[in-house]
Amino acid sequence: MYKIISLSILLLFTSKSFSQLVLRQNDWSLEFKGYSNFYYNYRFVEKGQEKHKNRFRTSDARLTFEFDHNRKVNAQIQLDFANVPTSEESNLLVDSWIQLRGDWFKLRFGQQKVPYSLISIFNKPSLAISERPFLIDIMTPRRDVGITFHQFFWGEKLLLWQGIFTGNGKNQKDDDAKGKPLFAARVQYSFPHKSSEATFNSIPSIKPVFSFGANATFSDDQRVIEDENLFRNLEGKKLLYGVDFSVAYRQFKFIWEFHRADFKPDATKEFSAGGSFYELSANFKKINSLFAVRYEDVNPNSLLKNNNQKALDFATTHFLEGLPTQVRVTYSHRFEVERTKNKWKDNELRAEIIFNF
Amino acid sequence: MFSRKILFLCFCSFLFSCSNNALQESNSQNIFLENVKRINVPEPSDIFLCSDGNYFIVSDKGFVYKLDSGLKIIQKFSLKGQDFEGITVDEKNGFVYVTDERPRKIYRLSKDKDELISSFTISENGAANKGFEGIAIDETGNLLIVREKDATAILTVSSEGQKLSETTLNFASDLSSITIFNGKIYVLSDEEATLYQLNKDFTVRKKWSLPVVNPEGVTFKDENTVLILSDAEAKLYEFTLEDRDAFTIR
Repeated sequence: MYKIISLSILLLFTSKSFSQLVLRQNDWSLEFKGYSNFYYNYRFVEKGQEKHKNRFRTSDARLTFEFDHNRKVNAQIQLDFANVPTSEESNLLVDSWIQLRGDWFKLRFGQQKVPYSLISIFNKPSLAISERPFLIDIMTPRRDVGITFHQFFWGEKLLLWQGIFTGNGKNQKDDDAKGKPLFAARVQYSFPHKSSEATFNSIPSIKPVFSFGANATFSDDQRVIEDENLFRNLEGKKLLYGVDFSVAYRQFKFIWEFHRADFKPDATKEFSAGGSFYELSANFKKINSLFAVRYEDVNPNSLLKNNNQKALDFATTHFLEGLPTQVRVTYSHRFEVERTKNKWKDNELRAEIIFNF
Repeated sequence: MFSRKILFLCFCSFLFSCSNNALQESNSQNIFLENVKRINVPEPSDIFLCSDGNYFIVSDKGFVYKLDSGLKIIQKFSLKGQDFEGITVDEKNGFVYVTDERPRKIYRLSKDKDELISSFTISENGAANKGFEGIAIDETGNLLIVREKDATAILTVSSEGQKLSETTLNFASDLSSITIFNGKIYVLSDEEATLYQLNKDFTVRKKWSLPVVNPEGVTFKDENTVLILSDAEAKLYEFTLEDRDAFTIR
């Protein structure tokens, strides 16, 4: 019932007249925006494993409130009504931060994205494929509560981030028994001019724009919650480091990321995890369509040989003329793991509709 | 087996789309690059060339600059806004008009003194960063203001701030600047990297594809020489326009 009420509130905002509503008074503004994502998912399961084979789901129903004062102070609260509290763990609150801006820096306090990985920093509506790579899902910290200092130089060609976080992921009110923080840093250089999320994902660049990034995080903590994310699910020291490269030229975009994590668990042997992905997309405005293909290869545990999990994703997105709406079909093909001779996950087909407002 | 077929079809679809569109994409050849100059203004977002050879440039940082004919900054106005995106000069009356995108505010400054004369706000509910990207003055003295997107439009506003009309445009995904030269209206699209010449009813008369990254400002030197400002590169491109009827959109 709570979910239905929440979605109804969101639908109110999706009518044309309510879209991107901004209230302004003197130097203050309050902006409402968001997106919703509804999908059908078909999994190519083995006979006898029919559970979750056919399903309809709402993956996102996000509403963002953004406050701004003269571009000097701004704050954001983002809620996801598709993740209303159904258990002790609530994911309703996505972002909640306050930011101070200067000519060459931003200082952000609160629950926010950890500055690690280019594709992790991008907002979900601008992704070319339904989900971020598996590599990012299992290995990167994603969101946490903390402080980020973001600097930009040379016309925003050089970007630096440094952050310190609680280390337990989003919506965790306390630190763990060890009480040690997570440190994160990222550097990004773009050439011949700056590369923003918009220029990378939606605006065709008539000249090739190259971007190089390097990032790392370190933490030493106890497990707080059961989670498929290796960072949150292991006790001990964790060093994550990675590099990324991207190029955007006309309607074509390419992105490559490599990440590796060295784990020193308190109870078991040291091991590492890592992998890379390659993603190529092409956005053809004349036919309002975007096509993308991605290959990834991840080894989540170096103690197991021939344990690589590989996947190939294809996605086609069609932008509906005159509407802030896109329809996307993604097919995810997972390869057999050499060690087990089984697929690490079923192949899937996902058809979704995304409404931005 | 079924999944392999899907895999194959996806791959073929991707390849077909790439090749099909590669054939469709062809840039018009009626524009010639003459000169490129660097501009020492951070994040320049619009430009106006005065008859005395001086330039007025606004910056995303919320500042107005006056530059000499050699593009050297000779004055930085004390007015500080949030996100200046459009500028035009009323040379007859000695005014400079500037648009501040986020608060939807228009400032009127003195052209020759560092003085704010007046300002007004146009009430709008759209997204903060999809506001007023350009401004020009028509022959009647009214202001033509372009809205970037959702929906792209030209607003006709009196010089005192009264909104007279709004025309929604649908030929470009965004608009980044507007200028009027010799009675002809030109608008620029950043995402399409295209310059459009419009009829009086704001329909497209001609268009030119631009080899410029992030074009945010347009002004004319003479009938056939256009200056295009690149925000991302902080460069001023000078082009000669070939004005052939073959490129007229009917």
